[in-house]
Amino acid sequence: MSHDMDISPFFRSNSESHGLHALLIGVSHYPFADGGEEPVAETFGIGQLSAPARTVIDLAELLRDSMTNLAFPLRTIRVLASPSQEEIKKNISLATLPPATLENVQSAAKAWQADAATSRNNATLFYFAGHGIQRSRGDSVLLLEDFLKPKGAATDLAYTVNVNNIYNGMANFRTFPKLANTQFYFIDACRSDILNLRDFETQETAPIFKVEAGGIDDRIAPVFFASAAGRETYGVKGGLTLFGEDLIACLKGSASDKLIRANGQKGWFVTIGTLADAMSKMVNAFNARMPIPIRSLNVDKFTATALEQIICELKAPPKVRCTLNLKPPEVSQFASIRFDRPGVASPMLICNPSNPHSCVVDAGIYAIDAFVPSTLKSLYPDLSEELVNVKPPFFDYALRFA
Amino acid sequence: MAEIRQILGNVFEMVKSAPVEIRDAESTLVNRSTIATIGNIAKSLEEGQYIASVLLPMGTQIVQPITINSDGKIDFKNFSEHIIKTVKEAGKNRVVASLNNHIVASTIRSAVSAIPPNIYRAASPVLQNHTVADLLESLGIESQGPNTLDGSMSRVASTIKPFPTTPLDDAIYIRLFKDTFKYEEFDSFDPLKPLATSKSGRVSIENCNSFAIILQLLQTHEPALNLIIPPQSAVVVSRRIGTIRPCVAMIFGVPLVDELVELRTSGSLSEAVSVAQTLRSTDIIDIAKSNKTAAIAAAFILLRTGSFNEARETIHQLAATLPAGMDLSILTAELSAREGHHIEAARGFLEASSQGLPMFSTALGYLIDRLRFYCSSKDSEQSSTTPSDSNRTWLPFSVVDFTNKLKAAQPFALRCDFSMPFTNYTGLSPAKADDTEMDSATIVATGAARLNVPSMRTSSKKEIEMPEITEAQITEAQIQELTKLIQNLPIEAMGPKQEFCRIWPEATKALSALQKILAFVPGVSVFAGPALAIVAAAGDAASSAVCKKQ
Repeated sequence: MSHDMDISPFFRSNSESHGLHALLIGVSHYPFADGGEEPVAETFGIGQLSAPARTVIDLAELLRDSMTNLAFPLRTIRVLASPSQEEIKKNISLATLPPATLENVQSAAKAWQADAATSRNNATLFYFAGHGIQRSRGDSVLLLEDFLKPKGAATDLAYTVNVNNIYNGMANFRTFPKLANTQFYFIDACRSDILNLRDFETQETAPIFKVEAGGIDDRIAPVFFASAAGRETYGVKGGLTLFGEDLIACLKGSASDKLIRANGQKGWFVTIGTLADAMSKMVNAFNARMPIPIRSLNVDKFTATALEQIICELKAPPKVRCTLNLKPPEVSQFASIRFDRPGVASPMLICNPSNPHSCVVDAGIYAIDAFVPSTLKSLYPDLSEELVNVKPPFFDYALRFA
Repeated sequence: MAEIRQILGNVFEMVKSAPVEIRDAESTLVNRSTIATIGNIAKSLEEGQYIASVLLPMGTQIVQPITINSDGKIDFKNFSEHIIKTVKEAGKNRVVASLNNHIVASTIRSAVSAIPPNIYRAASPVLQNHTVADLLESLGIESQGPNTLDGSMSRVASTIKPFPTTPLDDAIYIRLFKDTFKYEEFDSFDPLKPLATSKSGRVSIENCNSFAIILQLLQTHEPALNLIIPPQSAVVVSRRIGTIRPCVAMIFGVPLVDELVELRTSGSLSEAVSVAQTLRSTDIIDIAKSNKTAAIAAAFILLRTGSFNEARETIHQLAATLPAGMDLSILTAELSAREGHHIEAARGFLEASSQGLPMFSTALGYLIDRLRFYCSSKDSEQSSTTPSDSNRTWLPFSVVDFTNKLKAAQPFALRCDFSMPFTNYTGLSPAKADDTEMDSATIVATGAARLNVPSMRTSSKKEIEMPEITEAQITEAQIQELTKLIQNLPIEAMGPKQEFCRIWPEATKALSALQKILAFVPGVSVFAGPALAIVAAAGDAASSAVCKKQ
């Protein structure tokens, strides 16, 4: 479906049937913030980023290249990106994308909504990476490229949009009775608040949609926030955002599980539930490696039904990185580990493993045991066989000799 | 064939709400359940071999084959034995962790006490450099939020201030208030008397009254933290080593509800849903007979993660049987909104917001979200170009009504940590949320009581009482050596430079010994190493700066 104000979509399929419509926005470059070309006097500590634009282009390419795996056939992708110079140097094509200004976002969002409003069987995906703040819980204000643009802006939040406005506007079923029933939201932006903006707690953001109240909102529409309320999100300088990196890995298989569909079909699927579980584990694992737990994750607006919603399917079992820790450490000099998948593959025997021992195996149920040479069994009795469920995103296991 | 309840015996109560996954021989997930309801799922599965995977409350996962017989029964013997063995093993490990924590806490406190305040303060710039910004810089990571030096209210930044500027600044003081918004000084003769110190060294404050109370925690250089404790609920205060802010755990006292809250908080959504879906309205009504607070909390969880029909039935029954209250009003209003009855819902939220603050942070979240939603919906309606739009039925309400209520509630929501189930916010007066940091004089003027909360490693996992605790992995010799070193340190030493120079070499021995042991001890907080290093660095810096000159 065309739209008068529409910017050129990054991708549009030839098919007019129902499917997935994605709107991806990445803002690294903030010209009016610290380090920008025209910084204003009061920037509230907002500076330049170097990961969001690259993250959205990587996600767009993944969606485009994984078309056949998606539960909803891909129909459109709109990408708005305001890249940093560093990102452009690494990927010149970023410079050709429409910038994530308020005007462009408003235009693209309305076109995206119109495309999604052709069938209730449609699905939508919204992803924003960039700076964000919050005014209250459940609130997430997304800062666009022209944030702090002087030009007589009515409020400090004139060039920002509110996730709630987008979320609630996408439930305007009176105006758009065929609006997509399945909607995925990924908000990769901070939700910490700015002390100086606390005086403007009810200050309004720029509107994207007019919000209607009425009827039953029975959408499957979970929101994945890359940070809990009051917390921050992070990106690798010149790389991907941490949340974006996890999301891409999860869609490639790190969040998959072997499930059975209502029609009896078995397969490796990524669902909202498996995605939430895997991303939580990845965040927890990241924090465990840090002296300070800096990351967080919040999944909101989900229901039991939503958790079962399939996002994509894998063609083969995912590979899982396993880390086997032997305790006490010295036992690794003598121990052997048997990692067995009865009836599926030959047992894997690991002699004198490094500690921790790392390997990559197909996901599935395994039997694991460990033993030492007979002369040492009095000190280190054999570990009896245990069943373990090796599933993505990773498998960490401790083999504790007495 | 024996039921799982019988085989598990007294372990059953500990693990009954643990989520269970059932997979077929090809590892396909075919059903989810809980320990308590696992017997029921046999009826929906064909005869054969399956693999059950259970996540126990202490975070351990066990996987065990089970067989469903032709008569639809499950042989639970091996499964149950595995659970019992794992629970007992976890009990042993918990003792080790507890012992380690005690030693770490004692050593650090002693070492910190050995440093005179003026010297400690002189060394503090070194300590303050251990900031989030430094950590991120070293990792090549950038924050997608405002620079923390420029006014961000980042919760991460504020929770990890490495150490107080003087060794005594970390004291915690408390006041208690009856009910929300009623400003009454804490009085040791207060008939509430809900204070009790737990045997583990944490401080547990249980509200045994029929009304909510507000617990206020006061510390220098921190805003006063208010925690609403609903009736029949408790707050446990502890503190991690190396941090100023206390850790707060909130407990409903109903294992099923506490388990659900824990699963939700830890991000285990699939497990939370599998447990919530076993909940029936009758279960929650049963809970309400003994604990109304927990029943309302369970209803909130059910509305989000369970069956909508069960949630509707539950909320209607609770509304019909429990006394009116703000949280129940919000629950009912949210249900109306979900059912599309927005006028009723809007009225409910407006009325609820006139009653003060809800006890549950979830309720506060719903209130704010809906008030903001109705504010913007009303705006849209006013500018609507379709006169026939049914939103015209909003006329009974004014935008100003919603805006005023939002303005009143939002300062509290803005300062609420929603990862805690009970409503919480900062501000010296519980009637006014703000961010003013406390100083000693202000705290003294409040007449607040001092709370003795020793620093210790805290776990995000809820601890459960374990049977048969017998073993420890640290050798007796190591413990004795450490104890001796610690005992030789003058606790609360606040003497002059000479005293510090005499004490510090002994203090560093204790720290060094402890660091060596920590390398071999599982389960010690990741904070322990850096905390020891920071204390050692501060002491060494002070020692080289002060002692050599004498």
